[in-house]
Amino acid sequence: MIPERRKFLQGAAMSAATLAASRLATGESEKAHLPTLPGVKWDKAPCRFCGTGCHVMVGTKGGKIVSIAGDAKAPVNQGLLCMKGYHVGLVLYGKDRLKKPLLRKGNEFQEISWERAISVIADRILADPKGFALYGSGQWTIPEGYAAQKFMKGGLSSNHIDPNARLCMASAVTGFLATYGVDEPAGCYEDLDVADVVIAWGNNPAEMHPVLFSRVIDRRARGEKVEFIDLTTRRTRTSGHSDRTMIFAPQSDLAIVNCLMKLLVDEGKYDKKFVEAHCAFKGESNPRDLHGRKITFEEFKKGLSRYTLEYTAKLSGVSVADLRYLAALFADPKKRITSLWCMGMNQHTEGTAINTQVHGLHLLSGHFGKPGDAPTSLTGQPSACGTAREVGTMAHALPGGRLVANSLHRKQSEAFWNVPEGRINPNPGYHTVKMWEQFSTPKEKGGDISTIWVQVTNPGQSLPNTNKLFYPSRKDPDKFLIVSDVYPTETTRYADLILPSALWVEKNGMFGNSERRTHQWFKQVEPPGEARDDCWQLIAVARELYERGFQGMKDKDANFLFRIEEGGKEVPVYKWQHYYDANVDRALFEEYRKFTTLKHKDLAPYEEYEKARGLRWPVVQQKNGSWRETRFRFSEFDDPYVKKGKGIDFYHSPTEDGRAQIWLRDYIDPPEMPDEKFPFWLCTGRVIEHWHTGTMTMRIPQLRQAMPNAYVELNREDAQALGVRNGDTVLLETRRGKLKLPAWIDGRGDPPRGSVFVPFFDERLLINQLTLEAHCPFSKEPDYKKCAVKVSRA
Amino acid sequence: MIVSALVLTCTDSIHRLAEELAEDLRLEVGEAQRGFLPLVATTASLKSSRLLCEELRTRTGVLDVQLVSWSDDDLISSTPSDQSRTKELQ
Repeated sequence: MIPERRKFLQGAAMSAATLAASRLATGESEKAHLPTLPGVKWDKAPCRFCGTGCHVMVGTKGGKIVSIAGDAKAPVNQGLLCMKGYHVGLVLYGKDRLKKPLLRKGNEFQEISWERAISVIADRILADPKGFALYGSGQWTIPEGYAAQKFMKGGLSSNHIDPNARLCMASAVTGFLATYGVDEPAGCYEDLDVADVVIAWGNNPAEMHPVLFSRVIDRRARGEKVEFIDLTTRRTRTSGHSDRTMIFAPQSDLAIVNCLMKLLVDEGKYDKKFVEAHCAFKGESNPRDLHGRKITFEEFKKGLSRYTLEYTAKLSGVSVADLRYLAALFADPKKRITSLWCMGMNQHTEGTAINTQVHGLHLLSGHFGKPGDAPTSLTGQPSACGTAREVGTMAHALPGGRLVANSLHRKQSEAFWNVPEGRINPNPGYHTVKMWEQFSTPKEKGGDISTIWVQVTNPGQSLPNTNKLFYPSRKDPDKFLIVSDVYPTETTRYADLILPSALWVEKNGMFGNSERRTHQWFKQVEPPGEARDDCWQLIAVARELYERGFQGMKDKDANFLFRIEEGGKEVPVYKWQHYYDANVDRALFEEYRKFTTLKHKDLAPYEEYEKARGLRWPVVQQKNGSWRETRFRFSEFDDPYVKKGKGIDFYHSPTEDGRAQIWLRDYIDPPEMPDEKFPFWLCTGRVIEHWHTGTMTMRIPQLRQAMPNAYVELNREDAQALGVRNGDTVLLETRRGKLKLPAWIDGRGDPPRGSVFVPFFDERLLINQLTLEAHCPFSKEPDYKKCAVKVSRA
Repeated sequence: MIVSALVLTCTDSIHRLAEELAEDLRLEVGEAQRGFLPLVATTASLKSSRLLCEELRTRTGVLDVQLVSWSDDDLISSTPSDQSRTKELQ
């Protein structure tokens, strides 16, 4: 297998080298090229998969995608794509695309018309408007998410809307808010081009963000000095390329950061000047909340006293020498250090705390605000930032960083939507775990969510502890599940109504990536059968409610809430045949754009994004009329909102004095730890071949063949003790469920003794029947990375 | 194993250099193109790949060594500014 693969790689490498030599010889520019394919029309689009935000060139012919090429004009990926990106065009062409609305009749589904489907949804909403919830995702495009927000909060006066992004980056949001008073990273991908040290905190970018990882590793291959440090709970492909791998015990990352801060403080090696000028200290309040209480530097120092080298080394398993090494890196003002993290830190019962601590370490050491010096969280979905975070499709949020609980924010939103004052409900709705818990609880026992409409996500596979949060509702005849999707999934399998959706370039769209970059693309091919845009589905239901006299779908002037005009005339976009008579995306985006200046997340007009491969907010108009993006926030040299002479300015500071907060957060044991009955740690995650629940990538033959099924990674010594050999079937049991999986020893990843790893992409091997729904108290994000499990040979 | 695509910028002695390099088991030599020589290097690690590039740079007749792309068994590959790879889908 390996020699064959190597032979293939060598052949591909020779083609690349020969082509490059030929271009050099003939003086041709590499960047001028797209593959010459007769009759193929090329257009840009961001990749449909992860949050990196790579751009692809989509080649279409005869109404179909026939080719995909990396987009050399895209600053994010500069022509490079990962293995999923090169195959992204195939996501449209799985044989079992959903093409007709389907209504459950007993154990079977019956094809129905769109009119009937829309009517069924309106019936469910009108029967119990307060019991209706909308569950979306970080794959909603920006206009889709904005329409969903307006539909729920401006139309139904309900805040029961949350995205699956709650499951992947909510802790990053609360970490940013608690530290800087405003969400999303200050730095950008250019940090990776100049950093001297890159630290991955519980992150496996070699598989999860391969294009960004290559950006770092390429520098090394070119002879530049860049050190990669891998702090991880198991050896991964990232470890194989790292200069140092430090394996730590699950949850002990909190203690590690505290120990590093203690060393910097005790040895006087923190950046005193930076801290005095730009930072303040916070400790936990009682009871704990996101605001905490102000503390002095002395209190902060005293609070760290527990985190001695010896204590931390014993708790975490990271050696004293490695802890000292890390501290020395942060103590060196000449080094430029970028921290990267994703699910390892976010899916954590202390997710907010570990996020604030890594920010705090950068602030304390002054490794902030200069290119290459940045704490940067990465996202897993293409618009987790653009839609879930910026549009704010969360149960507590309103667009542009506003909160439903804030009366001024509600008034501003009501004014933008031209709806009567008081339309927006001041009480936050149910976050994801609570929403599904209420849905799975019978009405007579207080389960007040009766209908959930799911768009662009697969909770039947991705929720934690599905035996508690998902399946019980499917046996309750009072509970109704509507699912808009492109393929059959574990969720559609149990749905009452299925709506076929358009996918990626079958519709117009906009995404926002991990570095504040907003992308735009146009529809390039038609969706199959009767599949239709998710945004149209929302508008059509809103119109049905309007037609039936539901006041919420009218604005103050009795106009339809989603009145779309083109050339000064209303276009009936709620009728599918007229949906593309106007650019609905542009209309919704321009409306949403008004919300974005409050938190200085300014966006440019829609037309600017048509021309660009994404722009990073704040995008501010210049005197000559052009629009300028911002690479480095809070730094005077680049951020137009930093006052002249300030250098660094945290202008949304939680303490309103321009200061960022360095928190004192203690290590706390996770709620479930290995014991006699369940002696192993279970960690779950992803693989490079598949994207999340595999709905799309498992339908791409090349990716499915490369990684056909899930497995359990075992440590060799553990396997020997259990009598398990490679490929043997292993039974995993937690307090919530059981699952049999094939064993993989010395495989792609290598967990330390006492722990196992299982990927969650495989719909036939549903690991989330075993995971724990315990979540961070502030972000409400569940911890998929650690629970106690029993492992035996089946 | 790391598989790297390289292009050497060479002086007039390109064909003699190509013959010499063909004897190196780590290298596969392509067809010379007006002063540019495509090569494929297979090495145990990125470090040894880098050392090989440095070694090539010091050879007589070599003006420059460019790394076009590299790949390894982790399925991570890189062509920073290359659009030549396209996926025929249909």
